[in-house]
Amino acid sequence: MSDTIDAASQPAAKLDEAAAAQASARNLHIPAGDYVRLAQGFYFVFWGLLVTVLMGAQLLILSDIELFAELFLGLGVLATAIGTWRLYQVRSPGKPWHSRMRLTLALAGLMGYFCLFVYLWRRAPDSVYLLANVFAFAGAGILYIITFNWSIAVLAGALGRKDIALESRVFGTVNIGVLLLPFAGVIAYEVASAVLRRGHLLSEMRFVLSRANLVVLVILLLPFSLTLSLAWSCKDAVLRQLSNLDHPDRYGIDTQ
Amino acid sequence: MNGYRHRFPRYGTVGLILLLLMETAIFCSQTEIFPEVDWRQITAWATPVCWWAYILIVDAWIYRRKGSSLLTARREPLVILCILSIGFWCLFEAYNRVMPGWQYIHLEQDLSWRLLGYAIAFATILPALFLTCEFLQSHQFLERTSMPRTRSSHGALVASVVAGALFVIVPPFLPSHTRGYLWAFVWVGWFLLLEPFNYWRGMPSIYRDWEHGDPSRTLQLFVAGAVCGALWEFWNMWAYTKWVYVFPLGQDARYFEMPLVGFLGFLPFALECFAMFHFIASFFTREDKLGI
Repeated sequence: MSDTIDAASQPAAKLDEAAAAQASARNLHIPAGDYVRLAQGFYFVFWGLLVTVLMGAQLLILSDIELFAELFLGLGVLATAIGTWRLYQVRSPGKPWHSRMRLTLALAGLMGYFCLFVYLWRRAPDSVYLLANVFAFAGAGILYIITFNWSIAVLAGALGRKDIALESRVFGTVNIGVLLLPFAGVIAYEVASAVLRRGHLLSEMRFVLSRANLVVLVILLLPFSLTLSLAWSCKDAVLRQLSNLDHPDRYGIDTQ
Repeated sequence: MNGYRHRFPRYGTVGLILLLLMETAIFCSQTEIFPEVDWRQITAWATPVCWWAYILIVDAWIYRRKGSSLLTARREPLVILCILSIGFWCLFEAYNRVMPGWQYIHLEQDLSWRLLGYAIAFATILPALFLTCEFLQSHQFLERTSMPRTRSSHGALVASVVAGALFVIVPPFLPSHTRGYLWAFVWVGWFLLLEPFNYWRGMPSIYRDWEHGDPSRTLQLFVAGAVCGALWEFWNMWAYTKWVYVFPLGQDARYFEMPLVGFLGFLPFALECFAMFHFIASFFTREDKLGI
């Protein structure tokens, strides 16, 4: 009996949630054009980040990758930057969203900048300078993920999607614990080893890279997949809002 | 009316004194005057000191001429310029690791001091170039020039992007013994790659200048590149910490340390910096933050 009641109440709950979300979005006066930009932005960020993370991890570990395959890293970063730029163009969710997206866009730009060093490092793997910049690329990527999550929290809050807002805050915090802190630890260890033991920075970095086997990388890549899923669900939520704009009476909401 | 309506700011005088002191140190390091002083410790910092002094002097001169300058009225763009300047030059340093063009000698042993020196020196590149250009503009130098109007068709702009992408991407991927000959492509490539985006996005654009039959900004940037290039090499020649050129072209005929053929690179380099700055700026503002 209770199952029946629960099942019967689900559509109503969904209707309430959708109605609340749409009402919240209507209060914000988000134009349809901004919804389109948001959807495009999340779509690009999803695919761009996916390709970037996969290719970046492979380029760090494997040395015999075809040039053609290497190019996918640049394409991934480019797609991420384009997606972030589209999101940055959306102003209607308010100033906090825009200022966070400005930071996220700057980090996407940094990723694009340091991505060039990855290619150059592949041509001259003995260069400490280039390898240090490759680590800067990884650092920019991690910071990008964190700020992207926090930006989504602001947007989801503005759209009235508390579930996504909570998820994005949790994922952003998880990223700090699982990605940023270990990464900062590795960098600190390398620099300290190179300075205190007067070791060679390049050999210290190589030591770390040699330990970064596929299992460790898969564990480290999990936070990225959480963010990817978040980007995808955001895209879906935005598309749903857009669809509601086209059919305002779908949930029985009075648009007058 | 002589066109100088404002007082020469004090920081300009400080710049002049700094420059004179460093020139004196360089002179002493090359002669037997005061041999008990280790002049090399001082002239190791010749490049950053001379260039910051140059920036102070030129900025002060621009203020005297116009009543407004980067240091007096536009400090935020100056800071951004310095940061971008470090970023841009680090990129060219990365190219330099793959296709050796120059080497630094007598570098500071202590890594933190060395990094600080790099940062202070690299931060001067864009401000020096753009201030020199603004200085020329404040004197209406090459202001009334004209050229046949060009047409920036969509196809031509796309061709520029493709050519630029090839120029900046391909050289590092070629066999190592050929890379050193290809620096000219890198100096031109970033301009060709990014300038069409500035044109499309309504930012200050050299291509749009050409479309209007106005080459003045192009020529002023060329002259700024040549002036800064000449000074880079002049102040580098007798500095203790310095760079020497190792690229395989034209090592016989030189201007100070620089092979003469390499000097031509300073001209497109100025255009390249202009295009790179506005490309980055276009993502954050549509205002012309440079004002040149």
